[in-house]
Amino acid sequence: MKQSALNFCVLAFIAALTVIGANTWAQTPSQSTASQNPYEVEGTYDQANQDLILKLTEVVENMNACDLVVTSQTYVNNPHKLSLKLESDFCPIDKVGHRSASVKWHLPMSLRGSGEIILEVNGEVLGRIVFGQHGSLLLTHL
Amino acid sequence: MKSQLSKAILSAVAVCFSFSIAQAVPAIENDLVRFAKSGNSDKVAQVVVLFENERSSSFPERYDSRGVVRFLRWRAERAFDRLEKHLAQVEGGDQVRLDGFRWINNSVAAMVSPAGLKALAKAPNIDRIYLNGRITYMRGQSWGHPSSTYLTNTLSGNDWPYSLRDIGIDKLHAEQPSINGSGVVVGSMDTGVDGNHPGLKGKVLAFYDAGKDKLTDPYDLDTHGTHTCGTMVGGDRANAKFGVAPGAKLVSTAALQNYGAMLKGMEWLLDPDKNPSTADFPRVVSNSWRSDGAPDQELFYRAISAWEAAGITVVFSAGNAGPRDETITHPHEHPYVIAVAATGEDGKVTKFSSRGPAIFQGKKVQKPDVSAPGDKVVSSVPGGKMEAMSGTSMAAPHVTGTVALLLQVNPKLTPADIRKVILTGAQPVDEAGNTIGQHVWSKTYGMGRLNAFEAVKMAAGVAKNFYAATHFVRSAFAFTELSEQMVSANPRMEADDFGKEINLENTKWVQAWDIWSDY
Repeated sequence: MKQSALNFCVLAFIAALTVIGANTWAQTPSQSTASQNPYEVEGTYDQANQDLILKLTEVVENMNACDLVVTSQTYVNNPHKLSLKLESDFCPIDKVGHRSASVKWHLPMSLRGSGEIILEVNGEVLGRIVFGQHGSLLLTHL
Repeated sequence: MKSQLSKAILSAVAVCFSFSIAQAVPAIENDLVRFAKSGNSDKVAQVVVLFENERSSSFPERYDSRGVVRFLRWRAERAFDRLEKHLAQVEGGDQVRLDGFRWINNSVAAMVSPAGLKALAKAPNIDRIYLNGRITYMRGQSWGHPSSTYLTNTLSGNDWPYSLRDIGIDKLHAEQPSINGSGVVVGSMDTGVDGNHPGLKGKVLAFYDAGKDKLTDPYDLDTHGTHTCGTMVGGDRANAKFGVAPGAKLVSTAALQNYGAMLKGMEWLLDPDKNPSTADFPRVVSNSWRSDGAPDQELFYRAISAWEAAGITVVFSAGNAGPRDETITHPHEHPYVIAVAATGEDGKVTKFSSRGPAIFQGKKVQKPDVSAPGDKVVSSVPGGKMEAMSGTSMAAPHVTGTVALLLQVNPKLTPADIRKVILTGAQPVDEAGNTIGQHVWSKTYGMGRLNAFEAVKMAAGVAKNFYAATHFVRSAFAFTELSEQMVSANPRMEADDFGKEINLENTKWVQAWDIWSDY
């Protein structure tokens, strides 16, 4: 009875690991989405060119919705942190929608192949971006 | 009692006297006054000078489009010459560098030192001087387009979209398929247009990038312009049903880059080939933008008055600042503007749509004028795609497209006629959006929901002989009487001038110089 209970626990543990692993790294093609206020972040890791492509969309609707502009992009090596500053540009249009901005970043040598960076937008840490050898990419909340 | 009367008379005289003094001196904003007082000859400021609009005996007939353009050019050139002569004669005049002028609103840009500004302020023909700020930050890396939940990639489909069904285009097509805006040119003052979109190909007659000040092949700096243009003239009535007047042609300017470019775009639309002898301007212009934050709405009021005087019907979005009352955005309060509120698929006004009334020259005016579909409207976006967008931006082009239909039916309609037909043809609704039998202005819907089918019938009725061979009949109710009553209830200028009579006594000056650039 004790042995069968132990076997059940081991099997359950392996099953749980399998599910977590599938969620984490079996994400091909290399795209992932994480949702957290105030931005929804979509990411792509272009392994061939070693580019990280991010699209940030405001969760809240805006009554005069134009694209946001990336006015500053800073990378800190230790810990690996990408800081973006997003601002609205001149926008007189009467369109309701979600404002968004995109950024394409050519990765530094130390992050090529695989890595993990913290994403900060307008001074607020949004989460971590984890990318792997097969072009996989994961966005997590802190 | 006698003494009180004397005091009152004296006060009135004093007020009149001080008013006449105030009129003689141009209004200069405080920052510029400080700049002039600083006396530092190393400093230079960029300013915009608004000339006084002088009355003239050679004033053209209203809606004599070529005469209007010639007159506006002549007046601005004369004002410019007078200013040059003045500067040549006064101390400090050599410290003013004039840098072109905008004839559409009778203004000029200039670089001045403090002494130069003092010389400028002494000129006899200046109304106002503004500081002309510039964008100081660097543009970062940004691309891509706003995502949409309602993305579709198809142009085809047999069903009429709700936006066209709601305004009666399906009925119009069933009865009069040839009424599709053919022969009419509409204007777009927006972010540009993708001229290669399958639904717009071959429809763009001319394109002007107002930011770069050049004529080019059409393109869109965003997605907004392609979407609004698609709603006006896009597609067809067979497999790609999304434009109100797919037979109409388009002239477009990518002007929504800064306020200076916007005025350049407005000027270009009034005379696209820069030859006043040709009446090549569009008969109606769609405007899905606002100018809140501009140094002074008078700059835009004058341009709108000029458009209307030349015979251009001016359609604007009402604004997305609802649902509170009195949230109509600038310059949509101008009496010549047809300000359009946005309704959804259920026919009810959207939450975001700005509510009236509006304030113009210190008085309440009835805006919005009418409502039209503006929620999840599917139209063209760059790259040959279709996308649903929301906003009063999407409502205004439905009215613009309808104006094209009216002008096809009756090319002689003036902007004032068109306004009457659009408002009279609208489906009357109450404040809650329920259908009613009589037009009553509402702060949410204006005179009601746009009904292109009814409006075209009325325009056909006005053009008595034009549709003699068709089965259209004149609307049963007294068109002229009702429309006159409505227009008189909707205060407007009996303009015999181009903005001269629009004073700004109650205008609040807004400090937003950092986005006023590239005049």
